[in-house]
Parts: sequence; structure tokens; C-alpha cells
Amino acid sequence: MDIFDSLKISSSALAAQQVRLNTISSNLANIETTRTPDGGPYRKREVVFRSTESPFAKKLEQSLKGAVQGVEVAAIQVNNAPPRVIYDPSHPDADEAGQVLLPNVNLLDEMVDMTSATRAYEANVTAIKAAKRMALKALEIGR
Amino acid sequence: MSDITLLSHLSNLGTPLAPAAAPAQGGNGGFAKALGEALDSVNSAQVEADLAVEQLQTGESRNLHEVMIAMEKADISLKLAVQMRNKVLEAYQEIMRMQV
Amino acid sequence: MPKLELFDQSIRLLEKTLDMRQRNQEVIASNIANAETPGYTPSRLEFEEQLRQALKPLPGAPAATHPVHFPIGSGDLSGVRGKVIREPDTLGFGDRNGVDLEREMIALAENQLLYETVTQVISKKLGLLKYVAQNGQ
Repeated sequence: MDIFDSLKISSSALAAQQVRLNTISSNLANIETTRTPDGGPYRKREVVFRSTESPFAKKLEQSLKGAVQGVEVAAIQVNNAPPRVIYDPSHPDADEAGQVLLPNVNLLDEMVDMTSATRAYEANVTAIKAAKRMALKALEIGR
Repeated sequence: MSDITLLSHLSNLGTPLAPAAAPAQGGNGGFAKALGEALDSVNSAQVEADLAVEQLQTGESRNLHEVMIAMEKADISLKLAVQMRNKVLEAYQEIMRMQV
Repeated sequence: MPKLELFDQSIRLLEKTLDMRQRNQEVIASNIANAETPGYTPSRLEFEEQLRQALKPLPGAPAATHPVHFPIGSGDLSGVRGKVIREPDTLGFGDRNGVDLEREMIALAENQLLYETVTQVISKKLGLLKYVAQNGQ
């Protein structure tokens, strides 16, 4: 039951959102990538979040246990939705029918996701600032 | 809620000082006991404060406000005990000065 | 001669409030951290009601014998632990994450402000006591 645990929780979220932002960057960077080592176009990557039972959980009372949890990236999944198909016979990777398979990455979706991830990141920074201020105020008791 | 004015605190603190005038009549038993109790509570306040700081350092409890408040309580208890001692000394000296 | 009772119920109440608000900070931080975790159910810490109960005098309790003695509450103040309330998602679709980020941010700010207020109040009260204990110096 202390303010430092709150800092740990918020920073776990910062780390998780950072991974998410990196994944989005990767998707955006590869939005036109038609060749990958596994063959075929790039496939969109997604993060899956999972709440973590805090390592300090044993010190917590039963009632608080479910309520105080950090977050982590459980996995970075490959999205297996079908690739985009466009007709462009002049493209070096066009098949016999002139069709090109492009990554299943949608620019708009990624931008929205990035905004959401940034907002979440900032929210957790605010939580850290709040916890820090509270701790500093506690230290001023009696001064 | 409750009355938290300075006055209530003053009267709260005033009661233990009243017996300072009593030793001449009531004998030293009553006041000595009060002083002893005050010193006990000062000691326990100091012990509590030390314990709180220790727990903070060893990571057992990282409750900052608890530590700060415990330290302030110990400080106040000590100051009060010192004042009580001074009052006793004054009262004693005044009694000794009395022409019999 | 009654035992020296310097630190009365109002200070104990303030200390308890600090404990509860610190705990609340953890709960709110958890909700914020898990704002996008699928299936996460946010929690709230309720303690104001418990504090109120602990301060109320028992019916038929012994009356205070001295005007500055505060009445004994129906619950023991040190027993107040705060109640954790889970608030499951009511929308019924999507990933069943029930966290409302705006609400959590407001709760965060409010909790922080109230915590800081109480630290100021405690400092003031202890300062007064110290002043008196130092014989007005």
C-alpha cells in the first residue's frame, strides 16, 4: 500500500504503450512492403495487452488484489486478414493476372491507433506526475 | 464534525500542566506519576518514529506520510515533555524561594 | 491523572484519510494503466462512507465527560480499510473493457488534490500543537 507501487503500475503501462507505438511504426513503415523473408506482403502486427498480477500482490490485502494491476504486452500478433489486392501490371511483384498483393495495413486505422496509444501514454504520465506530487507533499508534512 | 479550534487543543494540553501547581499541596506523587507517563509517551513516540523510518528504509512499508507524521508526533511529544520539566523546575524554584 | 492524549481523533482521521487516498491512487493508476486491456474491469475504492460510520457516536454510548473529548465512534477508525467496488463493462460489446479514461483522469486529479489538501491541514494542526508545546515560542 504505497505510492511507489502506483509508480510501478503506471510505468508498466508506459512500457506497454511504447511497444504498441513501435508496432504501429513498423506497420506504417511497411505499408507498401510486398516482399518479406516469409514470402508475400507484410502483414500487420498488433499488440495484445494483458493485466499483470503485481509482484507486490502478496503484500496486498485480499480485497485490493484484483484492483491493483499493472499491464503488459502479452503478445505481438500477426494479423491474418487477407492482403489488399490492387491491379497494377507494371508492378515488379505483379502476378500473371496483373494483381499485386499489398500489406493489410490501413493508414487511417494505424493513425487512429497511434493517436489512441499516444493519449494512453500521456494519461499514464499524468498518473505518474500525480503520484510523485503526492509523495513530495507528504514529505513536506511538518516543514 | 468535531471542534478543532486552537482553544480545544490548548485546553487539551492545559490539563497536564495544571498539576504543576499542585505539588505544594498534593505532594509529589500525583505529578511525578503524570511526568512519568508523559515521558513514557515521549519514549514510545520516539520508538514509533524510529520504527517507521526503519521500515521505510528496509522497504517493509513505504508509507511516506506515516513516517513524516510519526516524526512530527515524536518531536511535539518531546517538546511538550521539556516544557513540563521546565514548569516543574520553575515551580520547585519558586517554592524554594518562599520565605518560611 | 488521565493519560496524555495529545493527538486526538481529528488527527487520526486525517491520517486515515491519507492512507485511503494513497490506496485510491493505486487503484486509479491501475485503471488508467489498463484502459485498453481487453476484458479489464475497473475498480473504485469507497471509503468516505466507512469513515463517516467510524466517526458517528454509538446510540447509547457513554457521553463525553469533558467538552473537548470527542465522542467514540460506532466503528473503530483504525478498522477502516476502504471497500473495493468492481465496475464491469455495461456496454455489452467490444472487448469488454470497462474503463472510462476521462472519468479516471478526473478521479486522479481529485484524489491528488484532496491528498495534498489533507497534508497541508495536518501540517497546520501539528504546527499549532508544536507552537503550544513550545510554550508559545
